[in-house]
Amino acid sequence: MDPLVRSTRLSRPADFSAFYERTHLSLFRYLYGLTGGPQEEVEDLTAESFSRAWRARRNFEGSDPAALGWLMKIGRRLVIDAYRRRKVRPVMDDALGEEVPAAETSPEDLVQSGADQEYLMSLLQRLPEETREILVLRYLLGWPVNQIGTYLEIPENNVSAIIHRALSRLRRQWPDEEK
Amino acid sequence: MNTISDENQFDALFARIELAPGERFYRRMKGAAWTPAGVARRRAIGATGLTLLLVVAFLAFTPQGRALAQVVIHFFTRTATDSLPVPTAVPLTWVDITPGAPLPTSTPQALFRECGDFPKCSVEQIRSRVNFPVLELGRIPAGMHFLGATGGPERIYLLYDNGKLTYGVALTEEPWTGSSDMIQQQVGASAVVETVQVGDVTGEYIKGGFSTRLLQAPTFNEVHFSQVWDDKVGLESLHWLKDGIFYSMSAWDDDMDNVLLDKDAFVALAAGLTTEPVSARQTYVPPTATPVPPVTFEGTTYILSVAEARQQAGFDVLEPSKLPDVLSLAGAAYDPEQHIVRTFYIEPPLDPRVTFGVRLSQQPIQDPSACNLCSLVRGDYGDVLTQKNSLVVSPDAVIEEVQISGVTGQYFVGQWNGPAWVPYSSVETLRWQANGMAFELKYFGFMDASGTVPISKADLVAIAESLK
Repeated sequence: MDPLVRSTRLSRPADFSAFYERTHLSLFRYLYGLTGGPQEEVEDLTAESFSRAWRARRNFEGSDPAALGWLMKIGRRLVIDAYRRRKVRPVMDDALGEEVPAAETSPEDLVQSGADQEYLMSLLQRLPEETREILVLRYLLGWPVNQIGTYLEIPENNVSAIIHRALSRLRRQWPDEEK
Repeated sequence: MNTISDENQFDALFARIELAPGERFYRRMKGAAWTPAGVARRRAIGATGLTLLLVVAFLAFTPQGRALAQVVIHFFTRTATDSLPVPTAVPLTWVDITPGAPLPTSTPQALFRECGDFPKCSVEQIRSRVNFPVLELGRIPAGMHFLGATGGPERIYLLYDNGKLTYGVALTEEPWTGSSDMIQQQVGASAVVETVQVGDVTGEYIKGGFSTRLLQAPTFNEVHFSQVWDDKVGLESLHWLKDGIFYSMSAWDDDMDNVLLDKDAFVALAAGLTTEPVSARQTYVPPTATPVPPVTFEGTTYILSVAEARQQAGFDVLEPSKLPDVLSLAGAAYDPEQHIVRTFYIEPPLDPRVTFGVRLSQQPIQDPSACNLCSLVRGDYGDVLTQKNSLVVSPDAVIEEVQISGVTGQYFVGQWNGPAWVPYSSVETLRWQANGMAFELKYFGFMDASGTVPISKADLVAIAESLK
């Protein structure tokens, strides 16, 4: 381990408590971004992720960013399990070039409510999984591209390219004044 | 709906998305296993009471006691109701420090330092370091292994678990000392305490523990809860006295999988304690502790002594002359680029990787525009990324003016968590300037069981005023 990277120890309750304080908001935002809600379901996923991390904490050894990554992967597995169990929403193929079906909530409805953010979240859910995750990490968690690349084990330039293409796609799907 | 003409507009749009857990989530998490409430719940049964031991010792070692010993000994004390009062914060104990001199050894005893607060010694190692006989389980329950031993000279702990710490047995052994905190373990008014025969002596067995009930929705700054006795909690405990040694054995089942031994099997386990090297024969090899690196926190490694930092920095590095006794110096670091010396005082000092503590940063103000510890500005997360010489805090943060030896400083709580500002009451910052120097004291802490932060604003001010 790089000695200059902060080492995280999670076995003691006090250490884990601090880890929870540092990371629960990021994990919640991450899981919300991946699933699109609803709020209570994401809260349950977040709580269950920490519960599983607590039980497995002695198996973890690494830096602080690695600890967050480990926690997020626990959460992501839970999301996948939830999809498999309940088939809440279809898993999209990773085909950036393809146009996606219209969102369940029509742009007109959302225009009326003025919910730009809500519409953006609904578009996010229509993106392929990996693309959605990258945008969530970049924009909801504020991670730099190199950190995303390390976490997802994708070259940095690929991350940048995926973000660029995803934003272009979001812009194309965004209702303009004529729509 | 706003028109998006440029992809860069999404950046701002994403930034305006507010996502945070609600009260329901925080209410749930306040009772989580790692919280003070959760720890207290698990430890409730494992603790021992001193009054009880006094009685036990009296009965065991005095003629009058031996006469009285014909009656049943009560090891547990019922509370008036099934609820325990909310714990109150423990006041800090302050110690005088001579700057430059080594900090006094803090409270943890030598054996804890050697064997860890999380046990890592063998039974033989712990046995060779105490002056009373140490027994271990004669039979390790199925699914468990011996995890390790630790303790202080006056008390030792043996821990057995299932490899995940979710199910295990803790055995505490200590000679009778007369200390008042050894007995009177509280149990709920409705707790069923059963008298049992542990070999040739009498003990008491109890199943259940105190669980945490929130009294109202918690906030970042306050949490109100009570502890209520629950015989369904996955805990069982047995206390007994034999040959002048007080034994407390507890088993826990965090997952509530109903894997606890039944009463008879648990008592049989206690009756079977032995001096045989049972744990040494197990094939399970606990993970070996990795060498502990110097404290590294937020990218800074505290590898220097204060004298070395002073020499490298070329200015007079001040040190606190008063500190709470729970803090001790982890080390110092010098940042030549910013010309800042940081010293880090952590608690507890058992593990240098621990991150709770107070960090003192100091920097000569040669050019105010280049002073990293001088300015405090309000802004959003974008400003955090672009402002290099200023500390950016959220517009929502409450910045208080405080007096430090006649100069005005600034104090606030909270920190950035990614792009979100979170008003953690357990992360406190105090900044001030004096005698051409800029200072920052920052506490990275936690909220204790009483819902308070151990190091308060007044404590930080007291540390600041003690700098010499």
